[in-house]
Amino acid sequence: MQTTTTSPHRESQVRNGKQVRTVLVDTSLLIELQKTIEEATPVRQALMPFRFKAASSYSRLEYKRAWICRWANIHAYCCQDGVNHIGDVLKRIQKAGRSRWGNRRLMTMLSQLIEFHGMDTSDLPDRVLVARLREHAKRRALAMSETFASELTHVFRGTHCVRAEEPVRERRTGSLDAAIADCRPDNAECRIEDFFIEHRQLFLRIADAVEKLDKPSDELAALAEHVRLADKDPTHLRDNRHCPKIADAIIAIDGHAMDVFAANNPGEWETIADALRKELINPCRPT
Amino acid sequence: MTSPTLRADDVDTNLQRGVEDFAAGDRERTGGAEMTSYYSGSGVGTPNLLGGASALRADLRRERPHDRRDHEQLDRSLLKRARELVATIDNTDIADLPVVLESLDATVTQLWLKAVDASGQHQQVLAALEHAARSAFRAGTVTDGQLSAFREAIIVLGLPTVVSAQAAEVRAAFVTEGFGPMDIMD
Repeated sequence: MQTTTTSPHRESQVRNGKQVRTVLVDTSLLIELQKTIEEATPVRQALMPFRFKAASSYSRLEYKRAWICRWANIHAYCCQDGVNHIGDVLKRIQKAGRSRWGNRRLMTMLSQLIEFHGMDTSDLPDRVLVARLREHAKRRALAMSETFASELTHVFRGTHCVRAEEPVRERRTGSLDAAIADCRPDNAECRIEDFFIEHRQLFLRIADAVEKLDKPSDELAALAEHVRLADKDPTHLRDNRHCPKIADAIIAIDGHAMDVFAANNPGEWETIADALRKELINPCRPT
Repeated sequence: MTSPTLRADDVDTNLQRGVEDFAAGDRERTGGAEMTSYYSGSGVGTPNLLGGASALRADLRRERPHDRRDHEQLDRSLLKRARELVATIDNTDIADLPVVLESLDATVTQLWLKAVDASGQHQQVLAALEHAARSAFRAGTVTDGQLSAFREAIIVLGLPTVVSAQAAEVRAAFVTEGFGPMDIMD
């Protein structure tokens, strides 16, 4: 076996004289892989030629925050006292959503679940419908947590993000623990600061590329802004109100040793891939 | 309600009972040989979701006695009906498959009537089964691997006690067979 370096991903690139292409899979595609077989198959096929498929552990945090926590929230609403009907769950989400979360996605998820299982037209008693809804929400949260890395060969852990590694737990009472605790400079246990310092030039290259755009998206503009703030003081990132603002950059740089980036949000990833001089593929919208 | 009586030593009896229940229904068609191989874990291409008695003993030891309170059992006649429908799919013409899949979906949904008082792990297995049954009905087709996962979930639902490892195995088996956790999302 020929190896160029001792790094595991470098080792994987050349085996028996054959080039092994490697790919970094973004969170957006990890989500696509969890959908119906019809939707997941094109993504799976596009990734098939890559012998080495990797993601960043920071993607796990995004995945958890965007989807798993939402299913866990729906589960928690179903378990609340006084919830005797599906309508009660919807009302509570609407009420809480105004003050705490953007509830549109939560309501969309819930409506799709209700429609999918015909709960809106079912003749089952109300308490049975609430139990069904609760268990389906729990099943999704647990199954998504369990299958995060099932399509991957490696997960990079450059930031050593503790929140990303925390599993979703089912308590003995049946409730779910999917909460993501706040990180602040005094309690953060990750190494995001070291990660930023080590890869400062790459972060700055991305920020430069964003600033050259005529009309960067809100996400990219925020990314560039927070990279500049971190450049002045890297401890700025030891706060979970700030580090998600540069999530795509963290994910890309964590896996920048890969030959190709694969993502389904070209708005951000085209700029990032260009800045890091990587090929970008989007299996969901093949050219 | 009486307090828990199930001990780790009872696991073999518990498992054997579930498998025998299934085999009693299945024997009419296959002579029970299929289930014998399930129990021994030697079925070709069939993951042994029952996990083996030793794994279950370890799971039960981890669970506290108060978690093992008596729960309502699922409706045996509906479970039998679901089992029969899964067996029927094997011999059904593809043109008639949607009718059988619709029946299976409806039967599994009716299982909730009693499952609402069953254990949380039974409910998790039923949720996974219901989701897969609805997905298969909407797709109008089902693969051999998916049928195998259906059979195994029904076996587990028939067990008097289900532990979290078994529920996780059932969830994982359905995901492996293409029923992704996110599969209703755009």
